[in-house]
Amino acid sequence: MKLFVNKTVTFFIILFLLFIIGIVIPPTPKIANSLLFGKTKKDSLLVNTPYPRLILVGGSNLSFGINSEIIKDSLKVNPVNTAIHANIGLRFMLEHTISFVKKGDVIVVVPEYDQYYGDYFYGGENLVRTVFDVSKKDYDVLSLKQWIHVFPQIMKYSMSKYNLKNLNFKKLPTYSSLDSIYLKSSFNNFGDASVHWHMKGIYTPPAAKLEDESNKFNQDVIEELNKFQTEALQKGAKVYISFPSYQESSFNNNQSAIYNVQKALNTAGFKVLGTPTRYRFADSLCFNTPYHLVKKAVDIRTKLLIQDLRDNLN
Amino acid sequence: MLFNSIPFAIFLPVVFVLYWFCVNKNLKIQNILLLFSSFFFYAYWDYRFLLLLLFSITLDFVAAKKIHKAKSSKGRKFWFIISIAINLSLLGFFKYYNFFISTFSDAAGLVGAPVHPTLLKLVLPVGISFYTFHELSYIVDVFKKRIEPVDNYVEYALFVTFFPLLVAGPIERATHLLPQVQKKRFFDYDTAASGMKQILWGLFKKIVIADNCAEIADAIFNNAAGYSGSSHVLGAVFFAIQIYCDFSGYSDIALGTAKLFGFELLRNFSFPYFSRDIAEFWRRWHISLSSWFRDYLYIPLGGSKGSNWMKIRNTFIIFLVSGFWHGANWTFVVWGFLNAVYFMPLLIFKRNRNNMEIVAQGAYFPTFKEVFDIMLTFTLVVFAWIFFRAEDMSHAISYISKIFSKSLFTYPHLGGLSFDVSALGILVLLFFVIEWIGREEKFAIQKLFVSSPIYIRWAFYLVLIVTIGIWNKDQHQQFIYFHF
Repeated sequence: MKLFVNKTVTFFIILFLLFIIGIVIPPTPKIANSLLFGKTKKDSLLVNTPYPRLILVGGSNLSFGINSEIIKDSLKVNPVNTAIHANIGLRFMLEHTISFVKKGDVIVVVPEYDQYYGDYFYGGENLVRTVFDVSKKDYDVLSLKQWIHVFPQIMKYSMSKYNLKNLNFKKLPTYSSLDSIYLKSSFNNFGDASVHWHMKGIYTPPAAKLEDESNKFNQDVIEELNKFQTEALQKGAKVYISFPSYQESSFNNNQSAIYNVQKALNTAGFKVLGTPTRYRFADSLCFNTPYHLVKKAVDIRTKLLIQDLRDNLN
Repeated sequence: MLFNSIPFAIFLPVVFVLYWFCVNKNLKIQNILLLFSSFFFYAYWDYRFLLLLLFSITLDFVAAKKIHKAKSSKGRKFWFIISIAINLSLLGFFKYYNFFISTFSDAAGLVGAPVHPTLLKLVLPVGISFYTFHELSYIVDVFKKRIEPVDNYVEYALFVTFFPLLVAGPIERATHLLPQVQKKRFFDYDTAASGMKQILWGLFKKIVIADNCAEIADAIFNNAAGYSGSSHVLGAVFFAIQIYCDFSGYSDIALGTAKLFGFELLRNFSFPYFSRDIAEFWRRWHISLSSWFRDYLYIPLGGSKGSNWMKIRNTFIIFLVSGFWHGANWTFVVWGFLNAVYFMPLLIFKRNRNNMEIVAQGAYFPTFKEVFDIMLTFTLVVFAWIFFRAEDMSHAISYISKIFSKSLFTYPHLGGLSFDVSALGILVLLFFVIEWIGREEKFAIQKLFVSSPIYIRWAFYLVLIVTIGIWNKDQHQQFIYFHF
């Protein structure tokens, strides 16, 4: 028994050291080039963009689905598209953004439908990468519940430092041409991911069910949105909530879950822009995920949002 | 509580320490600790069904004693039938009620007498198929006087609920597990070390191979219309790998965990994808269930004694029942039927016991004939898995139709996946190489690097853990067999 315990403890100490080393060593240049590092640029936009501002908060349905230039021209506001990746989790996005909000800002929050179900809202692997690699000062934004939730992802993050694929110091990712759209340089001056605008979409299978036995509607999302709205109003900003662009076949697979979201937002009394069906797009207009759009659809979606904003702002 | 979750990673060492360091001198208290740990483990899923589990345990504990004490054969039969009927009724109600009702309704509609029955929103209690079969074997063995009933409730309850096997087997036998529950257990270094290795290999199979193959298989099966015939073939192959690594990975974790507490559970898998015919496959796949059906259904039906017709009938019965055991869906029945059909030529020409020894035993490589036989068996198995995986019969038929279309000869595409498929392909290949090397052992890495210096052995284990860390999915994936 003593031998077993000694060996087991020694093995786990070595493993723990590997874990710590994985966390401590900096990301390789390849990783430091990835989409998540676009956050630095977006934070700078949040600080430096002058009044009047329109701040877009959400995941990649916004970064890969909005053309801010059209918004700027139509509404005569300065858009800041803060969106990076849905897997960062809506909670972090809201908690992070609120510190940049100023008087007169108009904030449009557009969470992916996934954010409302199960634990998605607390964030996943990309949240860990964001707070460990990109912006360590954001540690304190995470709640205890979030830390517990992402704990397994911290192990994944640490171990990924030993992934041989990431040790490629010179080349950019090459295994798929789509990798070129997931770089920190993919964002334009408003924060929109625009590199894919000249590319054709690929076949995108519909999303799986949003709601199932282990992924029920998460009431915490509504509470956190309420909290965000209250704080933003106190700062003199306006908050609207809207629906993401979504692939038609995914929409059809998830109608009741989507209408539940709409009902919950209306019941909670938020200022809601548009309807889920308004932002539903034919499969052929999706780029590579049910939330990402090809350029033609990006423009259509942006115009729909502008129209909804006009109806509400006036 | 999932084996591949943080709560289990905390639960297991806590129970281990209490078991070997705090209550190691008293077998009764050790058993009580394991029993309550098992209840906690089960209640962590859904505490509501703990009462059902307790009812089932108590029923069979009492019934077995009554059977044993009954003076007349009528009395024995009475308690035997009561126990069997209640056990099967509970299983039937939770698992098959909606299936039978909707099948009846469909049939009535076909003969022009439509009925509109009420379907119930039933949640299947986790592990009910497994613990029911556990208990049935005990009751049958007591009735057949193969064993005497247990006097101690804790011992019997632990036999049924021992947490490593509670939710998805292996389906144990009273003759095998009960003596281990009743006997003083001693810590053995080699057994415990082997258990740790088996847990690690099980986690690797589940988290790295099964969960990632699942992403490909799910994408293709769930959106079959959008993929070509060649992608469909790929989807079916990835599902075959997924279900093997998912279930055998679970079994490895279960067996390894049991070893840490001094128990040896029944082996459930023995490298089934290296089988040279379908009979060998079924001797190597889900062994505890196959042997259960053999002992408690096939042999009582007459087994392989009697005429060819009897053998054929009995074989079809066990495969169809086995299919139905997996779930209330015609797809499972067809899956069982297909396997019975595959089995027929071997049975009729008396070749079902041709490949009893390990393939290429003592050799590095198989012969060309062995490779051909393995590939042919794998192809048949993969084809049957399509029915197992499909949502319903029309899904299965449309999936297969696409395979036999012109698009079979196009390059398969896998759009919309979040990771590098080629890297997964390399991992799967490496996995099968390791399985091949270790095919003569109880699990693939049992003796791998065993004679190498400790730093090489440990480096290998660390590589496995790092790979698990890298390929771990964002959300813990359930084991497929938890749905059965």
